[in-house]
Amino acid sequence: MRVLPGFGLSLGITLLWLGLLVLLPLAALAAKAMGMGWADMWRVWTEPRVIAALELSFFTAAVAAVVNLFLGLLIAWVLVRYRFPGRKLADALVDLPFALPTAVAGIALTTIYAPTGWLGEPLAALGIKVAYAPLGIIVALIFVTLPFVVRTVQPVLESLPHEIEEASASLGASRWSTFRRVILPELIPALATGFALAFARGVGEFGSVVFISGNLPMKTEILPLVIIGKLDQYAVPAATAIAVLMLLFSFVMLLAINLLQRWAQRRAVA
Amino acid sequence: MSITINGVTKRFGSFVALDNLSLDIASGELVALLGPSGSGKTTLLRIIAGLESADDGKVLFTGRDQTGVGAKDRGVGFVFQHYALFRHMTVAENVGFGLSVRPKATRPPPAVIREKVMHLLRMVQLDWTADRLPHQLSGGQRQRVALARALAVEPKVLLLDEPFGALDAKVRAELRRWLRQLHEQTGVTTVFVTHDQEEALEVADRVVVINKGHIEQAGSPDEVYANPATPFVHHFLGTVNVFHGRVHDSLAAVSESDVTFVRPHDVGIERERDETHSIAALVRGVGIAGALMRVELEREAGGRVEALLTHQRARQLALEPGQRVWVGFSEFRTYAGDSVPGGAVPDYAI
Amino acid sequence: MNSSHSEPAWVRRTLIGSALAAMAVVLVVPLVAVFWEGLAAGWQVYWAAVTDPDARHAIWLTLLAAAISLVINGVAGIAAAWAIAKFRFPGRSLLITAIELPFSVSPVVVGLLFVLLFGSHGWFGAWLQSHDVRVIFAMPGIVLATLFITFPFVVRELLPVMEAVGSEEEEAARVLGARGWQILWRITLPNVKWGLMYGLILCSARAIGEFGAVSVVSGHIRGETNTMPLHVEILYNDYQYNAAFACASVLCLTALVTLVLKAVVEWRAERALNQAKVKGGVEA
Repeated sequence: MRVLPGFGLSLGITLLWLGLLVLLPLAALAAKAMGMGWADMWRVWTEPRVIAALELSFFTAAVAAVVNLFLGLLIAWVLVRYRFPGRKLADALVDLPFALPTAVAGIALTTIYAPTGWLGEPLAALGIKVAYAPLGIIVALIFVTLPFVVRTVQPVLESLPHEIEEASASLGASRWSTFRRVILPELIPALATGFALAFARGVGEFGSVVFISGNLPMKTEILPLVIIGKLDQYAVPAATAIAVLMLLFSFVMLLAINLLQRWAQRRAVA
Repeated sequence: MSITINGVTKRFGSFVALDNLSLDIASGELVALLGPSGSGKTTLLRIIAGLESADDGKVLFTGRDQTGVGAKDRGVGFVFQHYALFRHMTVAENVGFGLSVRPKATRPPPAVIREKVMHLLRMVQLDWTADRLPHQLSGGQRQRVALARALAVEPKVLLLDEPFGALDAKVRAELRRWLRQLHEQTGVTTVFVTHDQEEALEVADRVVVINKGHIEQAGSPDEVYANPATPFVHHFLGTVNVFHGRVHDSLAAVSESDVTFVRPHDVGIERERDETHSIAALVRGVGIAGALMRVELEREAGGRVEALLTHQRARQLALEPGQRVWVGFSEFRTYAGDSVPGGAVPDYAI
Repeated sequence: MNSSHSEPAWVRRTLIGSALAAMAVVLVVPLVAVFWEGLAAGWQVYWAAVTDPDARHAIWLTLLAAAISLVINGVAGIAAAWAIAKFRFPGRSLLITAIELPFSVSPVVVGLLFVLLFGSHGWFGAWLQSHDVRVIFAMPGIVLATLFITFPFVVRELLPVMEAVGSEEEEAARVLGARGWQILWRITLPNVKWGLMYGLILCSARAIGEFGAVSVVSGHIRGETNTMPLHVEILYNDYQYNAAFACASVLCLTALVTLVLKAVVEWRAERALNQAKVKGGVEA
């Protein structure tokens, strides 16, 4: 006997909803992949165009995640530690990339960083090409994944007791060594989680990147775009093979993020 | 309505919370379930309410088996330890909730509910808080609202889980008296859980001492206090001096494994040795313990003894730290060593 | 602020300055650019672009997909949160992980999943064709893709709130004789309403803005299967920049409204939580 009612009904709805909407489509993908066999799948994975896209997607996502590691820490630090006019507004603005449709971000960034754009023009004069180059993809991914590190680091920084910093200072540590040896180690699990979230999102991101990348095969074509290309040629098996690869990566990242979060929680309790 | 608990067992994983426990509660009784935390008393209360199901055994209300009857249909009033007031409802809405969720056929009209709510709120002297939200009330006020809410459905049984646990000493004392009064007025069968022996002895008609999932003793407050059935009860109801060994008239230890308990107010002190005061001790300290004086003594043979004297007696003796006195026990109780639970740690040895 | 845990003023100012400068370049410039480009050709062009029949149809389709997602993922999300927060059962943590799964799937892959199910060579393709039902390159496909993408938002926000509030009030209601639906409507939902709102806001923002998944299943048929973001894409690729940015600015506005609502709900939720803390706390 359970005290509260509705267990069967609520669990039933949940399983039906999850099964039909999520598990059934994933099962379709799995079945399709099984039907292909490893040899065919491997052949798709090792196509030069796929390898180039794979390298590009991982490279740009990694660079953007690293940039946001620093940028995110800086923004989180400033928002938590300092009081200045406009702080609340800045805090709310951090979520803009989550709220703004990615296609809108994509066309806006392309316009700004195009050779004739507000920032593209001066950069072009310096010989730096942003739009229609890997750098443009990185810029788009920096925009899209900016909130991850900020939002994972912020709560940890907020709950960090002042006492540990005071203790460090009272033991003669300088402000910089207090940050490096006392505060930063506390933030590492959160930073790692934020990095992983940003990286995972970056590899799968489509809308914001597709406009600015230029989509040149072998040069600026990202992995999701290769899937679309295959679909446009009705090469569904090849598209499936690439999707399986991306999905496997997603699950590995999901597992990694779960482990990181558990680590962060344990640290928070200790 | 009477309650019969028949061989109830409850396990949480490998932990046995209640071990084949049986208890009869007469209609109109006011019973305290007293025990340390983890003794299973709250689990028992929740099983009576239907908030927890027993793995084995039955709960009967006036002879009717309640197994399979949900908490919704048992007709009990339950007061939660932290009140569980509905935080987004006003006090009046909280109190009227039980009536307003009844099926249309038996639901009183809103005006009747309102009237009943105000009547109950007047009874708990909180009619002026009717339109406030729970977080605007003090702890004691919330407690009374929780009681009024439980009473609104006219329960046949009122169950209270540590009803005064989260309140400060003065409010507790007031609410205890008030709960007794309320019980006299309504006559509803009432069971409350507490870990505070003073509270149990003061409020209840009958005290049921529970330890490790079974009943150590059940009886009137006088009975359990004056005639503890087990060392655990003796130790749990008030402070005791514990001595290893059986106390003889000469206070010589006979059996090493036996244990003797003496309450501090049964310790007598004389300046000169006589027949009943034959243990030599030194005064270590004297201090006020409310209406009585507490004297800390150290036996010359080793071991500390605590005594409680009236202020008058203490003045007569004019005790000073370091002074040599003779100690005797007017009441004591010796238990066979194997009946002493681990919880009653012997502090002093004869 | 105490000097032992603060930096010299010049360090502070430099850090604040560089953080705000970075945010300005990364976040504010694109936002400004959208409105700037949208209005560059004047109000008339702007107005014509957003009231164009194709644009209006795209807005309608976007709102429809978002509304269906809100209802289905909202109701199922409440059910899932109830099952997970109020009960312990084998496989519970596996269920939580499974619910989070859609977050980690790339939008384009999501689109492909539905093509594999409902496309002409998919599992149900033949059956659908023989019954003359279109899912891919039609409205149902767009709705399904949006449902998948926004699947976890409501549960994810609801679950921690429900767990933090606990079940004592529900138990109290039960003892007072309340039935299941009465407990849900009168106790649980009012207690978690800010968490629910928050989840619904995030869900609708994502539903309105989704691009990749919808792009794969829509077929880009103007006036039929275009959502607002797809309409923006088509205009942009047609070099109708002003119209593209005009429509994009409408989406921008919804994003800004989302941010404001989010801030308000966060503020209210925090207040509700503090009150709950005061209530649950031991009397001083």
